[in-house]
Amino acid sequence: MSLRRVAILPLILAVAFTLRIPAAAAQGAAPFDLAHLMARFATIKSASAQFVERRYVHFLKGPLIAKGVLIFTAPNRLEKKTLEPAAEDMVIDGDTLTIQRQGQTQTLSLSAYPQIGAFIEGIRATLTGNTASLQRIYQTDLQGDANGWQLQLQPRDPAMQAVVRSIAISGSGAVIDRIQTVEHDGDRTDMRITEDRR
Amino acid sequence: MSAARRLPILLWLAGVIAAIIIITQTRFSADMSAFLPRSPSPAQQILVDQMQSGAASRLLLIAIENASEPALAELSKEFGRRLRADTADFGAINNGDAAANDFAAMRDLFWRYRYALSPTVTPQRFTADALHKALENDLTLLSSNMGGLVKETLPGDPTGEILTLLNGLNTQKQPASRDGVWFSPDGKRALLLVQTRTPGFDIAKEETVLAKIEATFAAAQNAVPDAAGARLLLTGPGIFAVHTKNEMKEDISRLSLIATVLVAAILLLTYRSPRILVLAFVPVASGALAGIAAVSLGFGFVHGITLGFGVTLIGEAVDYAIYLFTQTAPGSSAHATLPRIWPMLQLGVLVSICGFSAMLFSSFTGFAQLGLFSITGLVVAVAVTRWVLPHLLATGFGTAQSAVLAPLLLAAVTFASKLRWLLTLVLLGAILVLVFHRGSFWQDDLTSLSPIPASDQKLDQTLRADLAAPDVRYLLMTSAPDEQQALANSEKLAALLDTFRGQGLLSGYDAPSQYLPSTATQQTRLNALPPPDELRARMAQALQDTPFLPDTFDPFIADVAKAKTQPPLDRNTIEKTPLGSRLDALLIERGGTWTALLSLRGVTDFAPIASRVAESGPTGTIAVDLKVESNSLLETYRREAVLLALIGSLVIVALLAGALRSPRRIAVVVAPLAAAVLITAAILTAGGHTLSIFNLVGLLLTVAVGSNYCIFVERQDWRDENAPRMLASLVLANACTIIGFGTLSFARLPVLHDIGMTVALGTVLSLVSAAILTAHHTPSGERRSGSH
Repeated sequence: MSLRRVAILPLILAVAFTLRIPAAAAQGAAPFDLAHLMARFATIKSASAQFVERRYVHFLKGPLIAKGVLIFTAPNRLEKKTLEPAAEDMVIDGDTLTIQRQGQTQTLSLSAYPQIGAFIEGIRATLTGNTASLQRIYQTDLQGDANGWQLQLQPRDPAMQAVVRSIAISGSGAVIDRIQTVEHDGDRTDMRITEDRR
Repeated sequence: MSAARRLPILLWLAGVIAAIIIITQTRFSADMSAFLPRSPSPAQQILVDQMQSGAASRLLLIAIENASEPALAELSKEFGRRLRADTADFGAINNGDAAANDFAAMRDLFWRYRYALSPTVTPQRFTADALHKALENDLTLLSSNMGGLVKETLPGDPTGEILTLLNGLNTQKQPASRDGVWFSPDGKRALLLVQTRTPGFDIAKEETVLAKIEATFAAAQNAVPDAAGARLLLTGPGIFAVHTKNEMKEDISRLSLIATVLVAAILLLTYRSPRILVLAFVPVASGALAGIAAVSLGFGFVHGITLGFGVTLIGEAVDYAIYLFTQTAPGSSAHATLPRIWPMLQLGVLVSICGFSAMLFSSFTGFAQLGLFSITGLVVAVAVTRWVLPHLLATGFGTAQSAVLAPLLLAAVTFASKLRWLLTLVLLGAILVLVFHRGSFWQDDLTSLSPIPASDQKLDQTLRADLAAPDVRYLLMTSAPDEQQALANSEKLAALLDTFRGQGLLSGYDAPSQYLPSTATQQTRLNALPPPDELRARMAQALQDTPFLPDTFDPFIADVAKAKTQPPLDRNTIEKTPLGSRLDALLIERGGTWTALLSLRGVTDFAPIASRVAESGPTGTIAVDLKVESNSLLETYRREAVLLALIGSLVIVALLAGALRSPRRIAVVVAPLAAAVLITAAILTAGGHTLSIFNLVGLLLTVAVGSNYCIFVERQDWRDENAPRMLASLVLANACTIIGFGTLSFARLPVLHDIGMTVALGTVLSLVSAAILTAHHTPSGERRSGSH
């Protein structure tokens, strides 16, 4: 099951990215690279955004749609609150992942699972703006410019590849508007994000 | 040497040789369960058996500490990998390392047998309507954060049986985890659980396994960088057995050496003759050899503790030689001394035998051995003193030196009578301490009997807490003549427990039928599954108005068909997975009887559970509160010990009464003993301390040994020319006894330590009390005439 639980991790990573990008960042003609992107991550105290997530599963005729809110509180608390189609609350706080749905709470210690560990390290790298650490876990590829960019992440560890093939994060200016995750079997998740005004 | 003189010596030599031959054939044991008494009820018997040889006894808790967290994690992984490779010595190895695929093996088993295992499999669950509802629920799950998890299993398991099974497992708390392996909550120790293939009581094999673990650890340490300083901590029944054996060995060889050296030093100081020193040890050595040989013949083996008790024999048996040597005046012959002291020696030995015989009837094999050892040892020692030693002594032997202290001692005794008020005061104080003792006099924890050193017990508790291994307190035990019936009983109880859980009486339980349902139940579940064509038709109906592609659940239909035809899950199949060890602990076969154990978690009220299980549970079911059981077990032992001590003391008093035939003289012997016992008990329990069973046995031995001094003191007329020598011999003998038992009180094993301390304290108090109480009565012609 540990391996399977890993499947939710790309999402968390995406959340981490979303909320770490300052709205007012990336102005002017400063050279645009990963280091700069990451350098801006460590400045936000809290943020929230709306999301619409489309999940394409190979045995379903159409996508499953979920809607909700993402909330980040410094230094390491991330919350994904799903409102539709069914209420669910997922919180990653430090080392602990808690999922609440249908009146049941499941808690799991993230570092208990080595594969998850790597994902978490990726999240931590993002939260702390640690480019080197992120690049140790993922092969990174940043395309475009400050007005329209896409960051492609590919896990280096085969154990992680067995869960997630790639993660693509795109943004325009300083705002992330979309995170696409491709799973090992070709199923994908497409999350669109609208950040709340800060 | 005449034939009459030669005979005893020849007999003695033959005896010594026979004893040596028997001893060379003897099996020595360090199995501490000899000091855990045979338990009275079958339920307790099974529990004790489980502790001794069950799955729990094969469990080792291992901690690695003293390195950085990443180094410890790496070391735990490497260590685990190497241990797993040694399948001959080790069963399951758990350190939380998911790369080891333990969990995968378990999941695969659950997956393959999910329809036989899942309690939610009923005919109603597989109607078209129910399947449609299941699919709707699946859609919600798919769009949730658990979507990625559910997606993999959904086509084969739309009704979610695998989730039911895995959730059942997950209700148990897992140890904390760091860097992918188990750690103590503070992150200072990496933790492993290792199941050995050797039962914990097999000490020889356990030692080899232990050596292998240490070598494997060293090899793993070399393979992992930054782990050079890491330390290995081990605990578990097997480790206890090995440690206890080693401690016992060390204690016994160290303490007997110390006692021998001390006694030898005192004797050498007193007699100034190496020859006398050697002779003094002749009765001791003969007694010890005979004692060991007797125990070997009587029990088939000799316990290490019994050898440890030999230390006390050094202090006690040497007394007889001391009486002989010291009371022989210079120029006179030992043959002349003997008739004078023999009546007292005889009575003294008889009294000691009475005291030790009480131990013979103990249900503790260990105590019975101590009893037989001491009785044989003392009888042989006194016989050797009486019939062999005089022949070995040169005529004209005299111990001038020993008399030097005598006048001083005599003065002390005369003064002692003036201390009656002090003794009365101390005695009153002791009675007050005993009367106003707060709480119980007795240690009410079974661990007080445990030979396991306190430091080991503490480490064990720490590691168990680290591993979040809950203390099992409440159990249901159900026995049946065969495995299937035991499992069926377990199922009935599990159903009862489910209703109790609904009422909030408990939060969960672990039952063997969760992992291995009875074949009948498995069959009932499989019969609830529709045949393939029927299921296909129902599935088609259920799929209407859902976004699932039509062929999505083909694997489900195939798996159900396969489940209906595959043979039922049996124990062999489970044995190969990590669930095997869990099942081993819960389903036990012993002498053709199968017992299922159901351990309860989060119990809020056990009384209604117990009474309703008794009412409506299957026959042969017992509800066990381990704390109550272990307390009542202890209570039983304690009652036995008290009874034996009382009977022993009464027999001693009766014997003294028979020999002394005068209430006044009996009082003179018994009063100091009673005072010594009361004061000793008061000292031991002062400050709220509690007595162990071993202390109690010690008090009985105080009476048995201390009475010897009282007898000598009582028979003595202080104006007699031999009085100073007699007194010197008593003080010397008492000193040697105190050395013997006192040395024992430094043993780390509670049984030796408690007995040693109690007797050392008790005997010195006996002599002092006797001196104080008796001196007052001198002179008395009545006593003098009775001494010959």
